[in-house]
Amino acid sequence: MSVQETVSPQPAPPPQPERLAYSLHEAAEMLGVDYFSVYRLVQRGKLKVCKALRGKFLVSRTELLKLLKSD
Amino acid sequence: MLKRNGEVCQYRVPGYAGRLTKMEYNAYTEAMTSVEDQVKQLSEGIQALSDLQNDLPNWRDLPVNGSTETAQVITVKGDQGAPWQILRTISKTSRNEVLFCTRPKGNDQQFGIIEKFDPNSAYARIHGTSEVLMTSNDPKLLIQDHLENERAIFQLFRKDIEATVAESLAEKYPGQNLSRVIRAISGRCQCQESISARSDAGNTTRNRVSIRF
Repeated sequence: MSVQETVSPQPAPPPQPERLAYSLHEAAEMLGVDYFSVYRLVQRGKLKVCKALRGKFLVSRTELLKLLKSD
Repeated sequence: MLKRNGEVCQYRVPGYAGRLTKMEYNAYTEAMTSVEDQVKQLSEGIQALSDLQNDLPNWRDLPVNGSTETAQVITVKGDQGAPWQILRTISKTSRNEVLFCTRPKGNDQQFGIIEKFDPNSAYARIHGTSEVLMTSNDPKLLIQDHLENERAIFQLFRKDIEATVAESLAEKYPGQNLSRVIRAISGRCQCQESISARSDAGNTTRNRVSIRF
């Protein structure tokens, strides 16, 4: 008599929620540019940033996508 | 012996006049390690800016990368007018270059600060490999404005480092008052600036190829 083991499938990991905002360092990585280049984009008004609670600059996902699509 | 809340304050760190407790010092060391690369970037950026600033009095003889005959040209997507001739590389990293360029404009000469990006970057694929940051018919004025802009960028950068540290410390040491650690990190960033300024004072001999305009 053979015993058939049933392996229950591993539950899929819960989908990661989409990030709403990124640090300027992360934005630089996503754009593939230098860290200071992102600050230049901010200074020239090409990339809008907001400040988090402790004053850290954040770029919204929408802003990043806008920059990666067209002017 | 200096004590705060019963803890001995005996640890000194560069760029900060006060003394830290053991807990503050450990937090400082941990925070500095996490932003070490950024502080280094800031230091290098400030150094490059100081070099440029110290060069300015000599810009009657404009330094260039090569002779005018061999100078490279650069075109900017969507830019009207003649291609730009690169006179000098102001700064260079693995991902970008900031260039001082010129081109004829009517009977006059136009100067520009152009940023060149990594052609494989997501940004360059959409917006082109280079962008004009500023233009002027007065090269000295242009460089001075560029220096001012870069200084403002470094201030933003420094504030962002401080904010990153504050955020990280608040997560790791909830409920603790680590404002002195944040001030010490801020002092360290400013210390980098003064170190760069001091090294500039002793560095006056430079070799360069020049062109008079």
